[in-house]
Parts: sequence; C-alpha cells; structure tokens
Amino acid sequence: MPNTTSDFNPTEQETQPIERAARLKHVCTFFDGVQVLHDISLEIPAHGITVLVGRSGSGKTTLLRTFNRLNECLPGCRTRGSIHVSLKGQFMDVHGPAFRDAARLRIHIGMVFQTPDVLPVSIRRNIELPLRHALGLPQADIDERLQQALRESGLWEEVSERLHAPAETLSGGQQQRLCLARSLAMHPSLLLLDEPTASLDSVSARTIEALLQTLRRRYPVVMVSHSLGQALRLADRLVLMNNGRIQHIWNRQDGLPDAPTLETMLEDDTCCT
Amino acid sequence: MLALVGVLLRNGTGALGQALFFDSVPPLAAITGQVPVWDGIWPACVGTLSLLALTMLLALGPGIGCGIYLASYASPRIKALLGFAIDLLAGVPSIVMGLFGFTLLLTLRHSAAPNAGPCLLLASCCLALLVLPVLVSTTRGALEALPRQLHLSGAALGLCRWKTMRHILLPAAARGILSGVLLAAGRAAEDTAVIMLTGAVANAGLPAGLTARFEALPFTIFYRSSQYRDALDLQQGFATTLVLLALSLALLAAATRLQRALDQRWQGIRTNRPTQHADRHA
Amino acid sequence: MSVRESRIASLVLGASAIIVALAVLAVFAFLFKFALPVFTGGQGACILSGVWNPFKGQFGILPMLAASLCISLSALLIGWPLALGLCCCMHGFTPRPLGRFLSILLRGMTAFPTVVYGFAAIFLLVPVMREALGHGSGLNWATAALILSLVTLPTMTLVMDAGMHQTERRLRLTGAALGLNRQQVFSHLVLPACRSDLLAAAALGFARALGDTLIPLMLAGNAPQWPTAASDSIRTLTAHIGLVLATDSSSATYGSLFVAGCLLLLANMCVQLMLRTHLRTRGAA
Repeated sequence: MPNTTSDFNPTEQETQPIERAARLKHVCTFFDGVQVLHDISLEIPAHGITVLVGRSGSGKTTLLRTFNRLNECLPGCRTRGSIHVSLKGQFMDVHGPAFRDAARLRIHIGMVFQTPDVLPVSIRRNIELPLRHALGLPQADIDERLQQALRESGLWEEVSERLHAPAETLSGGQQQRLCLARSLAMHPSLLLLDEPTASLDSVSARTIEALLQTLRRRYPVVMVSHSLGQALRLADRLVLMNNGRIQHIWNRQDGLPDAPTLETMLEDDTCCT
Repeated sequence: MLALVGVLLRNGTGALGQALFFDSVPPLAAITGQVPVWDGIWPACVGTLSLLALTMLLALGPGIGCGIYLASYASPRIKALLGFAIDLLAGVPSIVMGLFGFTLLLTLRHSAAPNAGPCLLLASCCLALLVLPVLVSTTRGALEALPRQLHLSGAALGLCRWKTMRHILLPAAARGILSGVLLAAGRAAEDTAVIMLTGAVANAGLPAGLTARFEALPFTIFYRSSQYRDALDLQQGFATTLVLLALSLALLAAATRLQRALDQRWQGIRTNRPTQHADRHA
Repeated sequence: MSVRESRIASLVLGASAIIVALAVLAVFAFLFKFALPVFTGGQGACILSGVWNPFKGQFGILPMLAASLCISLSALLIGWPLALGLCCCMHGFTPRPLGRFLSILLRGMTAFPTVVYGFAAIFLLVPVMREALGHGSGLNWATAALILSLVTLPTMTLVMDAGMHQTERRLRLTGAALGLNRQQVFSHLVLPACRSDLLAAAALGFARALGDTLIPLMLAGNAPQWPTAASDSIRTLTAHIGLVLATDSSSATYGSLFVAGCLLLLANMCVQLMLRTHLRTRGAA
C-alpha cells in the first residue's frame, strides 16, 4: 500500500510539503445560477486513487471537472472557492495568474471520459496530436513517449502493428486504454477518470482496473465510479457525495466500509433528499 | 432529367471541337492571347474561370472566418443578430445583387472614380457577396454538428480554443465546409444575373485585367439563345452548355477528391495494408 | 508563440465577422438609398401604378410584381408536391437502389446551371407549348412556371430530405418496435414530425423562384401586362431589372429598378421573418 510519508522528498519542502496532489477549499459551482456544488473542501493525497461515489446528479463529475476547469467549457458555469493542484512539484492556484489560459493548466492534468473519446484519426495521431500541438515536442520525443505510453497502458502488443489504422476500429476497451495512454503520454501531474469503465464489458473493465492498480504508484488519480465493488477494490480514499455535498470520507488505512453498508448509505441519501 | 442531358449531348457533341473553342485561330496563339478569338468560346471559358477564382479569393476568407466565429466565438446575442443578417443576405436574389453592384458603380462614378465601369473586379465582388451566406452557414453548420464531446476532449488535452479549432474541430468538419465551398463555387460559376449587370459582355476577348469587361460561359449561353442566326450557332450554343455542365461537374469531382485527400492527411490513416483490414474485422 | 497565434486567430475571425456584417448593411443601405429619392421626388405614385409605358411617362411596376408572385406561387404549387413525392420515393416507397439513384440525380441537378435549363427549354418545351396553345410564341406564364418548378425542385427536395433523414433515423427503431413497416413509419411518424422542414422547403423554393431572373427572362415573354391566364406573356420584377439595365434605356426608368429591387428584398425579408417566427413558436411550444 502506498504510504504518503515514504515518498517524502526534502528538496521540495521549501514550497510545500508534497503530500497532497490537490486541495479544494470552499468550492461552489453554479450552472445558470443553480448551485451544483455546495462548499466542497477536499484533499487529494499525492499517491493512490481517490474515488468519488454517489448517486447520479450528486455532482461527482462536476467536482472532477473543477480540477482542470473543464466546467468552463460548458455554457453558464461559474465557480467560486480556491483550488490548488500540485504541478511539477509546485502547489499552484489553478485560478491564479499563471493559468489565465486554462489550456496551460490542462496540459498537466490528464482526463479520461466515460465513453472513450478517441479522436476520429489514426491510433498514432491520437497520441501525437496533443503532444505536438499542446506541448510542442519534437518528433523524436513524441515517438519515444508514444511507445512508452502505449506500453504503460498495455496496448503496445495489440496495436504496434497497426498504428496507422483508424482509432475507431479498436474495441471499446482498447479505445479506453488508448485514451488513458494519450493522457499518460502528456506526463500528467494528476489523472482524472470519469467512470472510465462504465461503457465497457466486465472483462475490459477488469483490464482497466488492473492497469489502474499499476498506475496508482506513479500518479495521483481522482476517479468517479458508479460501481461500488470497483470503488471498494480501487479506493485508497473513498468520498461519498450527495446533492453537491461531501457526505463522508474514508481512508483505506482506517478501513473502508463493506459493500452492503455503503449501499445502504447511498440509498439512505435518497431518503434524506 | 436524363432526356435533357441526352438532348444536350445529341445536339452539342457535333460542335464540340477545336472550332468551338478557338474559332479558326490556332489554339496555341489563342491560349496565349496573341490572336483574339471572336467566335469561339475560349475567352468565355477563361473569363468564367478567372471570375470564379477571384470570387472565391474574395469570399473564402470572410465566409469561413465568419462561420467559425459564429460557431464558437460569438456571444448568443451576436449569434442571433448576425445569423439573421446572413439569412437575409442569403435571400437576396442574384439580380438584386447585380443591381447593388450597379448602384455601387453609380456611387463610385459620382465620387472616387469617375471612370469606373462594369468590370471583372466589380462582378466578382458582387458574386462574392452572393455566395458569402452559403459559405458562412455551411461552415457554421458543419462545426455545430460536431459532437460536444470533441470540444471537451480538445480542452481536456490542454489545447487552447484556437488549437482545438485548428487541429481537431476544423479537420473534423472539413467535409462539410468543403461541400459548402463547392456549393458556393457552383453558384458563382453558373450565375448569370449578377454578371449581366456588372461587367459581362458578348464580345470582349480574353479578360484584360481586373478593371476590364469580360466574357463568361453562362452569359454566352444566354446571349446565344436569344441571338442565334443559324443552325451552327444553335449547335454551338448546345455545345457551350455542355462545356459549362462539364465545368460544374469537374468542380464537383475535384472537391470530392480534395476532400478525401485532406481527410487522409489529417487522420494519418494508411489503408494500403490488407492484413490490417483482416484483423480489423476479426 | 501559441498565445500570439490564438490572439491573431480571434482577431482575424472577428474581423471577418465584421466584414460580413458590413457587407449585409451595405447591400441594404445602397439599394434603399437609391430607391428613396424616387418616392421623395414625387415619382412614387407613378411607379406604384398599374401601367408600364415609358413612352407616355408611365412607369408602373405593379404588373411586374403581380407577375413575379404569380409565377413563383404557381412554380411552388407544381414543385412542392413533386418534391414531397420524390422525398417519399427516397424514403421507402420505392426499392432502395432507385431511391439512391434519385438522391444522386438530385444532387447532380443542384450543380446544373440555371441557364442550361432555360436554354434547353427554349428548344424543347417552348415549341410544344406553341403547338398546344395554337397561338402566341410559347413564351408565357405556364412555360416559365414549369421550368422554374424544375429549377427549385432539387433544393426543396434536399431540404426536406435532410430533415426527414434525421427524423427517420431517430424514429425508425421505435416505429419498428411498434410493428409498423417502413412506409407506415414514414407516413404516420416521420411526416408529421417534419412539418417545419416541409414549410422551410416551401419558403426556400418560393424565395428562389421569386429571385430567379434567367428563367422568366428567357421563357416568360417579358410583356409588361397584368397576368390573367396561363398563356399570357408576362414580365417579372427580376426580368424587368435585367431587361431595363441590359437595354440601357433612358435614365427615367432607372427609378423603377431600385424600387423593384427593394420590393424583392422586402418580399424575401417577409418570407424569412415568417419562417423564423414560425420556427420559434414551434420551438417554444
């Protein structure tokens, strides 16, 4: 199990002791004047997986999208509160002057959506495109990162022969791993996963879960999950949300609830609202 | 429809040939413009092509630019206002656009340029205005029809708004935009009413410059239909319609090819390996 | 570098939007500016009268207005049902290959220059008309309306088809699950759902017919008189503009041109506005 203090690095101590990947303080989000998130304060540990669970419409996805300010791409959205993310060893305010252009923040934060959002281009181009145009890397680096990312996501053996084929010809599970590889190739400081297995069959879902188990050591991950079983298997920190508020937080060290308890809590939430 | 094409073909093919294009002037001399061609349609061909090129040159930038602006930069208020203005412009009949060119000319004569006359530049300005709404609305439509997720994906990958547009949205919408360009070019090539009022004449030779009058294929057809004297003239008229038709269809074919090539370049897909297909279907 | 590029991009895009807006304004401003003196100069009543006889100083363009409306309405009456029929053919009332062939043919037809229709009609339809009527030149209301309906047919059909295609794809499975076959789905579910597309097609077809110059100019006979019968030679507003400017007669007649242009503009504006308000109320309902 990852231990937050074992990776402690003294050289980074001057800025902030790096034990958190991100910190939200009093975050409120509105869509067209309707409040979707109510005063959320949350810390994301620097290692391991933080899983957000809750019923549909409880604000999980909106909360996830506050980390990379993706809500701003939707019409009528307004966010209040402070959001800090640790980027390349520095704890930065994502609304701060360094990120007047949100794109400069998003190149450091990888995101995978619920349905695989492969671009309608070839497999290779899918990974190349952001590396070339968002990071401006030279071709040699791109090739290296491409291969590395595909290996990390376990796709290399399957696709190395057909990198020039359209990405849509991959199966759903492969597409989702391609999306993951695309994010990993950017060397992100934080990975956001929005129900990455929701549109996949159980076998593909297991493959992705196994992949996440290997990634948890290298990247801080925040993920939304609908499957309680998956949440309990993966979570180092489990956050239960209800109606735009955080209902409860568990840490794996202190013991996670068992599935029936969690289910009852989810159902209880609906009674309360 | 088939009957129409059939009749055109039957009546026109007889006259297709060197004489139709160049009259009795040797082709090389005619093409290089050393010897004027009076009875052939070569000058009209050149006139139409240069008109088309100039029109598209003038209309493409503002048309596509405005389409992009409306699709993803404009505020809702501007969107509604400008959208309505463009719908209005789209409804302006071509003869009225010609009339506009005429009023423009009158104004110019009274103010800045007393010597201004109907010319190639004026005609292509008016034509550009005529095809502008086509370009704007197809560009806008093609961009807005893209799935919303594509915008989000671009943003989530850390591309800024312009780069998302440039590298993801525009290539994905290229097919629609190109069909708009094709539509616009087709309208510019066939329109007769505008150029009739702004610079086309029956006998001008090769267009001498931006400020010269010119010949154009559709106008030639119109002129011949009302002024033909004998069977040969008539046959040449049919042949001219065939040439114009061929030009329109060639535009269509070229656009289709270009579209395919662009798609392939952006997607980086190579489909020449049969094994690939095999395991795609596996 | 990238910041500058995107700043330049948004500047360029904004500029092109402004250019387009200015262009629209310019078109309207110029035409109204030239039409206004006609009325303020006291010529207005003369222009909006019913007789066109320049040699007697009568410049009434109302007959032309009537002719324009008559021709485009009759073209719409012929063309719209045809377009609807073609759409039905393409959506399941004929075998699939034929439907495909039709759609390719229609797409090709949009690339057909108008002048080609006019040219062909002069030698194909006009003699037939002349024979059938037994008198006159064969250049009349009926000929022009027929060809005009042919010209507007592909546009109307494609607009209808685009709307129906979307709706059909959405409703096909639902309909099939209810046990309806393709024809039934089409006539009971798709058609009612596409009413606004049908209307939009009609508006577009009408606007195109009203604005077309070449067909009336070549085929309608150009006699400036009130339309009374389908065999009458008539002159539309558009043909009037073309004729007067091309023949370059006295400048006294020019005033009528600008008024004619403005009338055409206003007619199209009305069609647009009606369509818009209709769509909006439908959208709200």
